[in-house]
Amino acid sequence: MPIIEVRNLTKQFGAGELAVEVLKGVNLQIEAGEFVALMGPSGSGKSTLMNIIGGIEPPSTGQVLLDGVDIGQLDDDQRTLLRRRRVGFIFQAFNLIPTLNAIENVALPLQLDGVAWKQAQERAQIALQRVEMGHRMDHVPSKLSGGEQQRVAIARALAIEPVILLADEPTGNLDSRQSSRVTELLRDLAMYTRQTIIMVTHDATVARTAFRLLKFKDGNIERDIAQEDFEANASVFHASSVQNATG
Amino acid sequence: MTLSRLSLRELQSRPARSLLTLLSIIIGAGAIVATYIASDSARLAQRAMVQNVTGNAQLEVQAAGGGSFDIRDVLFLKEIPGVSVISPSVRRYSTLSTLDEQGKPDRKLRVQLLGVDFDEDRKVRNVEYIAGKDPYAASFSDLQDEQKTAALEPEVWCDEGLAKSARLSIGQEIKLLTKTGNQSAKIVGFIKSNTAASAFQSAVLLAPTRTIQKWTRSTNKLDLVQLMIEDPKQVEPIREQIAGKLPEGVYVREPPMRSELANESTVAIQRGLLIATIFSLVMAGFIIFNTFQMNVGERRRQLGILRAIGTTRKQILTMVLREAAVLGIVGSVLGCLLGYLGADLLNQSTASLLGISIPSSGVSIAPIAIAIGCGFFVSLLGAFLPALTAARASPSDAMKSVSQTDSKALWAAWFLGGWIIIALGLFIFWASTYGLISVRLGTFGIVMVILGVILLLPASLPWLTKIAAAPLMVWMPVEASLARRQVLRHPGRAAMTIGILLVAMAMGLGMAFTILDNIRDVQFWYKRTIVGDFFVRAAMPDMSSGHAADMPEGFPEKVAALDGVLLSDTMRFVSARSGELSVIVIVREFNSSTQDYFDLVQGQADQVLRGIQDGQVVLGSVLAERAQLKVGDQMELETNEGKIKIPIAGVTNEYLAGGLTLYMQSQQAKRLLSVEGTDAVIVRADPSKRSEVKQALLKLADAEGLMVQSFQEMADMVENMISGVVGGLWVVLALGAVIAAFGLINTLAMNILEQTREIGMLRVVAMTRQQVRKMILAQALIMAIIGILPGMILGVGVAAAMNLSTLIVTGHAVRFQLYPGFMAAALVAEIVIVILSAMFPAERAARLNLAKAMQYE
Repeated sequence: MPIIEVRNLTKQFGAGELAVEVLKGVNLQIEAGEFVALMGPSGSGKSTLMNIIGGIEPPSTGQVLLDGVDIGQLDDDQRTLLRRRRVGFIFQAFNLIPTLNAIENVALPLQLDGVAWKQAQERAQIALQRVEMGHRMDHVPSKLSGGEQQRVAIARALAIEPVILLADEPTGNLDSRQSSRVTELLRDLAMYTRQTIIMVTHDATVARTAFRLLKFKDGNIERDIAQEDFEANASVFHASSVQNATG
Repeated sequence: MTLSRLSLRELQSRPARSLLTLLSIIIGAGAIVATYIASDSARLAQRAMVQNVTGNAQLEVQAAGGGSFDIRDVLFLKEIPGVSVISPSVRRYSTLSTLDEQGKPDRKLRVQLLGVDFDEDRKVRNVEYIAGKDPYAASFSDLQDEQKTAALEPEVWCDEGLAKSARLSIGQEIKLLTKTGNQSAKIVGFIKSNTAASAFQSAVLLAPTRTIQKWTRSTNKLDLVQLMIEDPKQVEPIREQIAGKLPEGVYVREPPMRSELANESTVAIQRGLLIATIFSLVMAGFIIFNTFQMNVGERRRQLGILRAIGTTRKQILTMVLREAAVLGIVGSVLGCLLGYLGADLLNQSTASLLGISIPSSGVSIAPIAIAIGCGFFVSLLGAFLPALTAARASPSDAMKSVSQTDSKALWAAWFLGGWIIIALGLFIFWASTYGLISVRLGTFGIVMVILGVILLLPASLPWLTKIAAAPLMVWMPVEASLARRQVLRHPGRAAMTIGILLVAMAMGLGMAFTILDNIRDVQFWYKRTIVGDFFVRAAMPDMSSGHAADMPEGFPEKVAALDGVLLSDTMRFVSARSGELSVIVIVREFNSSTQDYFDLVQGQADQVLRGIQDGQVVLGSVLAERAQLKVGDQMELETNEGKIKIPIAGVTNEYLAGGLTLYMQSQQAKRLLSVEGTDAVIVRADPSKRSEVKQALLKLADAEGLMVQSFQEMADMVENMISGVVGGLWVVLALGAVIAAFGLINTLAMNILEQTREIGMLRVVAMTRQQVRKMILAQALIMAIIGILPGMILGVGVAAAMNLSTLIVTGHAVRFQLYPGFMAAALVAEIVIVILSAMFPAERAARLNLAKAMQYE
């Protein structure tokens, strides 16, 4: 059974003449343990799809089943609980709370879920060690490099032991060395812990680390390419990167 | 695109931020105008109270010893510039006889004949025409003309109080016993003086000066000339000018009751109002400054980008300052309008709620100028500092998405500065209280202390927030902890928001305590001193002239013999001199050992009573202060036996005659001052027989033409006089709470706007709407707890300080008392205001659009 199933998903912003349809009947299945990269030009709908899968935005029509739960049927609080317990987010801008140090940032979602501080701290510590940030646990975000901040953000996402990890351009703000460390980390997670990951990226090198590539265009999936076919479809990666660079 | 268009777009693209910024200026400017107006109303009410008691005259000319003087000696008064009203008068005592149907004398009453220039008298004594012929009608001023006066039948106007008690009617023929024999006159109208001093003299008949002069064979003689001065600041120079021209034996002075009562009741209230006005300015400044700090601070990244693409520092500063200037002016103008409307509404609703009249202040330039000036300059300053920081920073630093937290070094400097300002403020207050510098400066000392405390806040926030968050941690540990971090993120802004709460609380409690203490002080005094249930009096004498209006012989004894009368005591008021000071001697029997005669500030009650029975005197507090005398010293008094020195047995709080009073036992007064007779009889009745005693007294008094006043009426009169002032003060107080609430809502809303991205992120990773609401509420509560408790302590300090400040003027400090019930109510009220203020921003934060919030920069 797929862990994510998207059926005829549409998303429309605005109304009347100003209405813009960002997703136009997307259908998709993702199995547990898959590491999927979403590529495509800006405005093609990949981030919106991520937001809907993550329960940040509700769909206009269609269904998104996450681990068998229809997200469209949930109210705001239920969607919050879903995000809190089953979805881990990683953002381009890291989005750490500037006033909290690394371990506090990681422990925060657990605490908000009622986990006692000591236990939350232990789990946060483990998550930070998994991303090799065990030595910087007491540092606030402003004292960490971009790559380190992103690894803390990944630890925060992992601490809740999510069903899926949603990464929106996780390397967009990083230099190539830090970028490859973060990418390797995500790949290792998928490979060794069967963590399901969906990652939006414009970077072909980063996208190549995934097990599957979904190429978006005009609100729908244009191509769905498995890892073994990456070499045969090298032009897809190139086109996406160029489109991003020029668009 | 020019930078000004960019500014406009910036304002349009962030409507919430622009609106909140504008609102803060409106609130700030409105606060200044509203507080100014409300204070002005309270001031007017206070002035009205003083005038109600003393009349409007600022100066009066009298002969020494209260005799008459020649009108030609004072004709020069008309030539003195700055004197707006000259009201001459003659006072003589007479017996009024009413006539029965056959035209024979029926009843007799002791009355005071007051010869006045009607138009001028009206201005000085607040006289109101009630019924009958209008003495103020334009054509009537001809009556002052000698020939016309002679041609008319003598007409008199009767005081409404006298008419009621003696059942006199318009058109009634009366006889008046004067030096020229029994004069026939006709009562043609009723008038009423709204000054309380006149109310004491309510057995008054008025007629034109010349009529009284003719009847009493005192042509060209005057007893008193009352003067009103256009500019209050000119009173002293004009007094000196007049004094130089008066012949010997005639002198000019401020009416003693006026100057002292005014000072007495004014000093604490005026200081309270001055503090309220300064505090409203401080709050307005904080609110506006804080908002601009956030507004421009939030745009740091955008300004960094502008710098990166080649905008010069000067251009950035100009752009930001232009925006601030436009918002500052628009907001201030709107704020002035709102402030006027708000204060007016608040005045009216308080007046109707308390059933009192609060004078309304007219539109004046001063508050508008201050409000617009403050709105404009504080906006510029609030925008300038963060813009300067952004302009100075390297573009790459400014563009960093994580905004820089405020500098620790700066807060350390604030901390040090805070202590210095507190020390200076305390020193100024101390110096003013002990008369080393002007009393007025003491108020600034208090304000400095409070500002100093606010400056201590940023550096103290880490531990203060820890303490404040502690009780919340039990209820919402994660939210409270996040809220605390958020408060700590911008110590400067948090300090200013806390400052608004602190100032509101300090101002509120300080003013409320001052109001309550002053009411209590006045009530305490008159309840202890005027211990009778009833007063029976003839016409109340003019205390300053010592004219007697004594009651018939044997009357006090008749009263004492009535069934149900527990105690009766006589009272007599006479004027005497002690060196340069004119004092009012209050003569009583002092024959009861169980009665509290005094509200003593010096001396033991039993020893004082024994002393006064042995021929010593008790001084009013103001007199003691003026003459620099204390218990055990001797008071010099001009008497029949020449200047003699009398030992002082005690010093008492005194509001009568402005506290320039001296109490003396009747036998002693008879010997030294030839004082005989009685002005009033004070009666204490058996509580169970009070109404019978009242009826008996009324009957007895009616037969003798005397008036009976019950203590309750007296108490009502005093209460009425202060209620207008107190009502005005409550308005100022309510205004403080409203301003603080608006300021808090605005600051919190702005704060939350700034946290949009973070709140969005928290929502994404795990936070429910309820948790967001709790977090915002926790932020508000943490700031409230930090602000409220020191605010309460400072408020109590402010009240104690204001009370203490009356010491130098009145010779006694108004007693200070804690009102735990009131403090608890204020605490609850402020917490409720804080919770209500936090609700709107919290709801807004909880309902953020997550996808948009994540994009917010």
